[in-house]
Amino acid sequence: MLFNSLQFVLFFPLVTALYFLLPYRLRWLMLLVASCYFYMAFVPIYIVILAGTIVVDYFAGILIEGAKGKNKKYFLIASLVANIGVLAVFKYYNFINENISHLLGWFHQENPIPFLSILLPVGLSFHTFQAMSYTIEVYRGHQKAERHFGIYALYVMFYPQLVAGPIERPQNLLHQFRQKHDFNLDNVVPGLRLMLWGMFKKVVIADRLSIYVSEVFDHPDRYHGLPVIMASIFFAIQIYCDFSGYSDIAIGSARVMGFRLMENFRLPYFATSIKDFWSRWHISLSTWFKDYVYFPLGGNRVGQLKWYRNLMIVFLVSGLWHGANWTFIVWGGLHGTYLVIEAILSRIGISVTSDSGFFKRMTGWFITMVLVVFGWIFFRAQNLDSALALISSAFDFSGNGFGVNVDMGYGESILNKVELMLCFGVVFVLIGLNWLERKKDISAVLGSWSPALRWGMYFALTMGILITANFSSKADFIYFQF
Amino acid sequence: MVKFLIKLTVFVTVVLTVWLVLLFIPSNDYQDRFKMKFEGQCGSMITGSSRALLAMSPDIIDPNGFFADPFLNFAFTQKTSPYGETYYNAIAAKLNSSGNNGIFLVEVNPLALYTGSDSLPEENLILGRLHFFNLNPNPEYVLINSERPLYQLYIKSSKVKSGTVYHMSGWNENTASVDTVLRKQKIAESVVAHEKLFKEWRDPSYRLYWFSRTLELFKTKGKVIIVRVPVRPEMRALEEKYYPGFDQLMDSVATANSALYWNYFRDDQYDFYDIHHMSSESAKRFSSELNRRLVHERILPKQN
Repeated sequence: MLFNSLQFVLFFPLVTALYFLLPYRLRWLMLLVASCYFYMAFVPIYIVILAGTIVVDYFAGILIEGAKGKNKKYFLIASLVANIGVLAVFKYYNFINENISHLLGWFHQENPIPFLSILLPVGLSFHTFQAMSYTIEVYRGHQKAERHFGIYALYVMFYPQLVAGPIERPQNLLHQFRQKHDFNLDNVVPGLRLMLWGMFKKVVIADRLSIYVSEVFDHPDRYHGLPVIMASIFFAIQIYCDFSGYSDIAIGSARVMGFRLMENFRLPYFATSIKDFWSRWHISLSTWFKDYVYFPLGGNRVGQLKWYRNLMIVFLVSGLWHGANWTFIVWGGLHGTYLVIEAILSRIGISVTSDSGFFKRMTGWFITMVLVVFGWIFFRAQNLDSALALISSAFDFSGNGFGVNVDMGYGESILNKVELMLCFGVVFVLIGLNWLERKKDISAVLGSWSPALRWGMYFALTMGILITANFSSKADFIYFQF
Repeated sequence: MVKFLIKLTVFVTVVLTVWLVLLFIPSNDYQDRFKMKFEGQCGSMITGSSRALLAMSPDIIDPNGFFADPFLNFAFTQKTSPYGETYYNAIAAKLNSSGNNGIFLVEVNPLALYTGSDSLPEENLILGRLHFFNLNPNPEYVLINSERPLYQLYIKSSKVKSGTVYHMSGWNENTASVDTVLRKQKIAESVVAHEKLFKEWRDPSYRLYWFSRTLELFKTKGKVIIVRVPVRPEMRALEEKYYPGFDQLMDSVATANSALYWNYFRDDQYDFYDIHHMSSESAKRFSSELNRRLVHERILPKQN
């Protein structure tokens, strides 16, 4: 089920009302059933895969906790293999096979391995990583194995964060399912505010910009110069609004019921360095890689070269996590390279910190944004050829301004000047509210306003959503594909 | 908590009221390619795919309003309105309950009458999703089935820029000028795409059944003429290759249903935006030709 659907408009208040009305002992069951329904609204059969991994990791947790010596490690490895195996089959099998075909093609050989005709289960990478964090934390002794199968299943399946995170840790989430949450306006109001802001970012900003972005990125041969640069900047904003919008709705809808999910975005485009950017962007994934890949590799407590190697490994794997395509691997590789260069520059005293002067911070911000937007070109492009074609044509300014033509089948163009101005308008709204969010979150910002201004803002945001939403089509969240 | 719920209820009520008002207002001014087709009933009809949507103007075919009115172009696209139960139900809902002086120009082509698998794409598109076909204004269409969000319904300049004029008769007049290079590219892409479909779409049983039901329905309301519209030579070659007996099939269906079959498939005098969608000027000429023939065959009285 999509958050930006009429279905969810009915689902959310119903589930929330039931949660508070039901006796405490039945709440986990209701949430689990609701989460199953939420997930099955996409492709019902894929719940079987999810159920399979839940069963494996539930027993793995108990076995790991009870085992001693090497057995403990073997149980962990078995669990990780099962989880990564599912990812490998559904997400990477065809990609690997395709590359084998290319490789054999160079030697004029046919690839005998068949391709699989399967769809990637929604949110597979997210709930697999969340499940893996559970078994790893039990192995490390940071988390007790959960004996209640239903509670464990709910940890993996909790509907707000099931399909696109935040990727939770068991220490933060599991115990909350045993807590009794009463209806509390201190949770309900901030939660609803966050949901409203998240929905606005997705429906009004991300979906507006996606029209322009899709046209340019899907037709790299038709555009050059300003439209390419504009589309790249718009995509940077689109993906931020799309994904942080989803996270806000997830965190907000959980908060209404009294659950606290981890923060996932902290104004990433205010970052003044790439390192700073990654401390603000998709925090739940960045910290996952830091805790379970980067630190086990030695982190930065190793020699200089090994540290750089660790950074590259983490970001290449992170790229691959995003999708089975070379574009994502290049994107990850680029960010790894940025960080290595930043580390080298830092060693010779060139770095930007919060203590740096205004001019230095602005320079750092500008360079960071250019590098990030450049990386997004690879992330969004359909393949490496398209990405390179867009980059090589970005500085050919022989076109006619920003305009793009959206062909609706027989010459119908829907992106006129008014639409383009709307795109810029919603971006300014985003910048304005993000600016206010620097010191406190959106709920606190709205809470500090006078009632008239606050309710006026609620009205403006809600009407903005209703009049820009396209109820005839399903505008998926970008991160669902991962 | 009670105070909060009261506030929330008042807020939701105000928002929904404003929204509903906004849904009704554009119903009077705004047009898109399909909206006018779902406002009120009609007495005469053009049905079929996007070929008919772009090529046949009711106002030119029957300029003096001789046939039962309104005369509506109720054609959509190949995916939206192939002949089947969904299209049949929509047509039945649109037609006036009384009168038998209608004219029904029923455009046919292989993709409107053949299927390739069990899936029926039209069930999930406008005709399958809409519940109210005749409300005027029709907020259900604006809300759920318009292909645009509500704010775009207020940007009238999009209509000017669109390259398509949406006539109240349902005809979509394609006024866009086409770049030659782009057209060549579109034609080449379209040939490949259609050939793929033609190879797969071999089963006429389901659609032919509903096509006959549609003709039977029209027969009770007036004169029925099956029309095969002209296409570009590239498309013609494809259809002749994959459906060589199509004209004979249409002849026999027409005879069985006391309908006429007017076949313009091999008429070479028209210009197209792409592989089979007529340009504005050609659509006007083609509609005039239909008018001329209706007069010639004494279905329509000679005009002054």
